[in-house]
Amino acid sequence: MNGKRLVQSSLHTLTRFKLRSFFMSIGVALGVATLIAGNSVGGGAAEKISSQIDQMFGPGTILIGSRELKLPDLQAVAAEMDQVVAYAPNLMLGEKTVQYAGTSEKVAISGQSANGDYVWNRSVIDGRFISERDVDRAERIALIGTKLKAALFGDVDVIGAEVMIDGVPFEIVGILNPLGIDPHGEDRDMDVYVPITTAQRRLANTDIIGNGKLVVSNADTVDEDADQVAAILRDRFQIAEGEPETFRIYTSKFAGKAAVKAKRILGVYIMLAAVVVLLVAAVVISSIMLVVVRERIAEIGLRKALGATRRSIATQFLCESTIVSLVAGMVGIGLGLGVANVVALRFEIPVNLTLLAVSLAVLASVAVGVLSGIIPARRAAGLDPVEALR
Amino acid sequence: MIEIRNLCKSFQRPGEAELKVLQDVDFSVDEGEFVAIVGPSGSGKTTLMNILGLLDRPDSGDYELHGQSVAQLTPEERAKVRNEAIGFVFQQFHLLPKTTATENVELPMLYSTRSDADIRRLAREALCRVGLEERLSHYPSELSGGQQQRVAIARAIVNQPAVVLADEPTGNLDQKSGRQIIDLLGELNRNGSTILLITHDDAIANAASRVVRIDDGQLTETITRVAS
Repeated sequence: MNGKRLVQSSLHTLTRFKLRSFFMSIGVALGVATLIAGNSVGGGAAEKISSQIDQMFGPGTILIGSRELKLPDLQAVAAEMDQVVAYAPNLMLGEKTVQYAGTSEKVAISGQSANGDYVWNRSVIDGRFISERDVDRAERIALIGTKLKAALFGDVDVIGAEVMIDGVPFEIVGILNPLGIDPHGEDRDMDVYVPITTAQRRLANTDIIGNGKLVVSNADTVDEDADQVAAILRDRFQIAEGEPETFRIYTSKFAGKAAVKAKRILGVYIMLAAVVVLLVAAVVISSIMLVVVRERIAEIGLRKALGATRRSIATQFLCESTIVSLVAGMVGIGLGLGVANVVALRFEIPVNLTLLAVSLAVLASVAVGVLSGIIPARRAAGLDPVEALR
Repeated sequence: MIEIRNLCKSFQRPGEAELKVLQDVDFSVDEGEFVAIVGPSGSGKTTLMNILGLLDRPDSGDYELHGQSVAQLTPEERAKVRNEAIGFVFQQFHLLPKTTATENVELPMLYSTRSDADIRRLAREALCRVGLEERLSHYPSELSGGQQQRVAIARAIVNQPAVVLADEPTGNLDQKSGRQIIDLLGELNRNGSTILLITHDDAIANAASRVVRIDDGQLTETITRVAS
């Protein structure tokens, strides 16, 4: 039988037994969908995480977190280390009620200094950032994220409007640029920034800052700088030799490595899941095909009587399993893209489908089809027509 | 056309004595003949038909088809001969389900090198010859037993084979449809087809111009009648 007739005849058989074809294709469709969805969302997620890590860290930065950390600690570090070119605190207060007119939202408040926009890499899309004067005088001013603005105010201009934060009135002076959801799952567009002093005195009554960030002049030596920061802090916090540190330090280098590692692990798990599903799919197709061979034993005998060679019987069954698998793979690509888009929409991740993933999916479906067809095809081809026609 | 000499075939089942199914069978069919092989079940007639149809190989002996010795061909060569020179009609019809009459008749030609247009045309012509021009697109499940066997006969003659082998073609049919099938085979024979009919039923065998009796693996008696 020539190729065209082979494909026609396979399609004819497959459409004759729709339910069976459907069951044969489920596994491959799901496996390929896993591969495609995982790949396009995973790629997008990894990309987003790296860009967010870039946003959080930027090149050559050191992050300090400690319940004891106060502003003078940062000042001392900056004074001792010439390579520190800038520093800024970030006091993260728990959830507070932010209220405007009848609407209220419970959101986390962040205390920032005047150079917070530069050090923490957060710009303003409307209005202005916190000024030195705001910090000096602990002004009751605030900047809010785009989503919070939409939730409280809707579409109107809000610069100069007054909101109540835990019952204290604040004037809105700016809107923060949109960042989406960060790797911790926090929606950064619900952020509220107030001057650090205002956060300490009016909202929390503390002199702790909790988090600080240093920008150093040379991104390559950031890990060595971090060691020096640790030594200064140990000294200031009077941590004896051998005692555990009461602060944590992360550098931009460390974060970059973690992102790469996370990306790799994610990729490996997605591939592993897809491979397992596809192997199961191959076993499913293979066993259904074996039943099909038994069921169609009279047809095989007949075809042989009518002049089919071993080879044409074998290729017919191989062709059927391959077509089922290939069509299922195509459906799986569509399905995977659908799932990817839903997930991407939900978590604000870009969908990143590579040509490589699609080619891999097509290749995998063909491979599953051929592999799962081999044993049934051999069995069908080897049937004795006399026995088969009985 | 068909020339068989000293044909032997035996089966060996594990733990059982060797069973000689065909012993020194000599048999020939001329072109244009309508021959019936009659025998009870277990007489070896189906084995003979399988060998004549190149579905099975003899242990020893010669088989010449169209002057070509075919007893010891490879499986691939035998498939080709079956496709080109032999048309099978089976007791159970053996039509593909959920496949139209025309597609069923096209089946043997899919293994040939004919063009798609020829295949379609020849299938239709064959179905017309068996009187099914009204049933071209019907599925087997929509046809009566007699009509299904007609489709099978159309499939057997569509490649213009040297011989049509019909193994108990009326075995699954009522008497009236069976009679019509035998009449159809007779008509095909008058139009030039060589027919070899295998049956256990003397009444049906009488339609043939020559009747050969087989018993215990040996051909015993030949009655030749002048065509009526």
